[in-house]
Amino acid sequence: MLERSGEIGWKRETTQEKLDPSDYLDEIYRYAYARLGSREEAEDVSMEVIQTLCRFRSEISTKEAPSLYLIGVTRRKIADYLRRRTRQRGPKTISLDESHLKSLTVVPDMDGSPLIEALNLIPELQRDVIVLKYLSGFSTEEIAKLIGKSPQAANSLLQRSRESLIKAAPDLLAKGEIQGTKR
Amino acid sequence: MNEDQNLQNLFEQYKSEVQAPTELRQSVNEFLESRRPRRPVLRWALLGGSIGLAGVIGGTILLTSSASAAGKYHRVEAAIQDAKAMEIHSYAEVKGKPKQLFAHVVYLNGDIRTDAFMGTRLASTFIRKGADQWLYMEHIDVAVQEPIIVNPRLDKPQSALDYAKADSDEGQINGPRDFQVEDRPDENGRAVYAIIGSRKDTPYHMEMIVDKATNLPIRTTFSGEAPTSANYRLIEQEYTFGSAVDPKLFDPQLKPSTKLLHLGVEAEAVKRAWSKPVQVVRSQGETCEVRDIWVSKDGNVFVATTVPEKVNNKVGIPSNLLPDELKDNLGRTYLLVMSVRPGGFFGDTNADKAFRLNSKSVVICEYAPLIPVQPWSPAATFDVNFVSRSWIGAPIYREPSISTNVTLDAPIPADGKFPPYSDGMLLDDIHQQFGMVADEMRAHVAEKAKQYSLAATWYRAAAEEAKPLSSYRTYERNADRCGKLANRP
Repeated sequence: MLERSGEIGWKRETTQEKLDPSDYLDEIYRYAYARLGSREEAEDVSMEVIQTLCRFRSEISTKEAPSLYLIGVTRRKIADYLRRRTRQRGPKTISLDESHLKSLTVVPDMDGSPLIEALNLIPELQRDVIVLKYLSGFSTEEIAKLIGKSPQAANSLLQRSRESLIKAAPDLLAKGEIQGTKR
Repeated sequence: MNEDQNLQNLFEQYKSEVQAPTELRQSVNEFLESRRPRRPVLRWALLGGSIGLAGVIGGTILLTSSASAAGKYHRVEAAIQDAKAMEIHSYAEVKGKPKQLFAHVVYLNGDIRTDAFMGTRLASTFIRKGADQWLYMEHIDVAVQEPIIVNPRLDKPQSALDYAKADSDEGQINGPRDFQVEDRPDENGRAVYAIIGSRKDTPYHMEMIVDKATNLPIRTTFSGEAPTSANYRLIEQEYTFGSAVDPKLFDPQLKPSTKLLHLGVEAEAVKRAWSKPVQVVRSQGETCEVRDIWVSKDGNVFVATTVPEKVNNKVGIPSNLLPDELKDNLGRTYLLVMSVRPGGFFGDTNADKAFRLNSKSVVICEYAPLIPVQPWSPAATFDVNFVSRSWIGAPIYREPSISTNVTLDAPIPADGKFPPYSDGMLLDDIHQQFGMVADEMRAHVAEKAKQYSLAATWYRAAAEEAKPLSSYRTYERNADRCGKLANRP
């Protein structure tokens, strides 16, 4: 039968139900900035993610691992954004498919963070897994789910990504400390 | 220290240094406020608009200051308990914007009326008189009569204090607070004192000015944020006790045009109309029952379905077999604007509060034509691709291995913008966004096809639709960006 559950609108919210997209704004923004290398673009993507999340807010609250879910949404938004950005640069720029193989070295407004600069020297997919691992703190299994690969493939990609980053920015990795960033 | 540890350190440092900029946070907060305007109305306003009052009188007060504060508190409590009539005007003051009245509450001998003004499109009036409850939604000229608010604390006539205390743990006033009492200069010839509330380790600050002679509050101001915060919003509530309240205020004065709904009757009508599925669609062990198809004269298509309770797919996102891509027999494409699970209060899609039919979830899949040509010529059939996908909002995941194509008969387009069951399912709030999202999706499609001029037009249309809902200017920016691309040689 068609029914309304007993308590409508006034049910005392549990801690889990109280999760709010804005609680994750920093996490979304940091991830987007690390991926895109541009604060302005990260802002745009973060706002789009929040708008999207609002359309199905209840899903966030029912998830055991909201971060995984939110970063999944953010990744899709970034993919859309990169597609648009690639298109804007005309037909001779690389396609999104190629971006798995090559780095999108088109970051218009880098603001001097050495870590972000280093990340932008490695291919897009490698940057993605590094950020998922070290910024978002996901396990290899979770990363595998997000990027649609087996855990073994994800682990191997992670290894290669680390090597690429070390090769791209040996000094930074040797120090393990960012000096002179603007934030 | 190895490179792995160094990487870890680098990102930890990055995390501590990089935060969402204030402007973005402000935009998000404004957006969220505009997207959930109805619940705050009811939280703030229906409950006597007396959150500040409840701030002093709520059940979890920790009086760690003087015995004097405790005594004052009890005196205020007793005074409100005896009040037969209470009026509260609630104002909000956001940084850089003028103080705005957002709710007016009238209480008289157990009955309560709240007029909420949270934006012209979402103004509403709530009346509770005895056992009857009414909600009038001005923006759609619909009145709902039903015990729609099932709240054990409000299901029988209560005192002004009960209203004041109800839901005092909501929002920013959560957890124990400390209170101090301070003397204050007379106000308009009245001797007053102030009860100052604070909460440890938070910027919460509340000041209640109380009449010394009656121990009734005069006004309360409070905020959960520090004045320096971008999210700072000061709430001010002015109380009037014992004023002459017209009992007629508690009788709904409905216009002849107002559509009157009784949710129980509406639910029964939907149950009857949807008793037999129009079609049962199956794929790879998943099932979707199509219960209703409704088409507007503008060509918007609404496919109502019932599906088993949500199932987590392999990436951990709840999904069900649901309508996805839709075309008609004339070859026209429709965009999936949103999937809605009706239920709860004001379009709240919380699963616990949702409508169900035969214990199954109701999901309405809402489409708009990609090219909204007018006049719209009706279609004879719809070709629908059903796919297992994330089941609410905009699909963020699809499982193409679980999909099937189905042809459904198209009904004759009907009058109205939304299906007749929409009001009874309280989808008005969600449907406020339909036009905006449809235009945004048209813009995305045009941009993808490099039709930048068209994309700019649709982004601007979305921006117009968004104006009453959000102050965020992403649509304008997208429109400008596409406009520049369109003018590129």
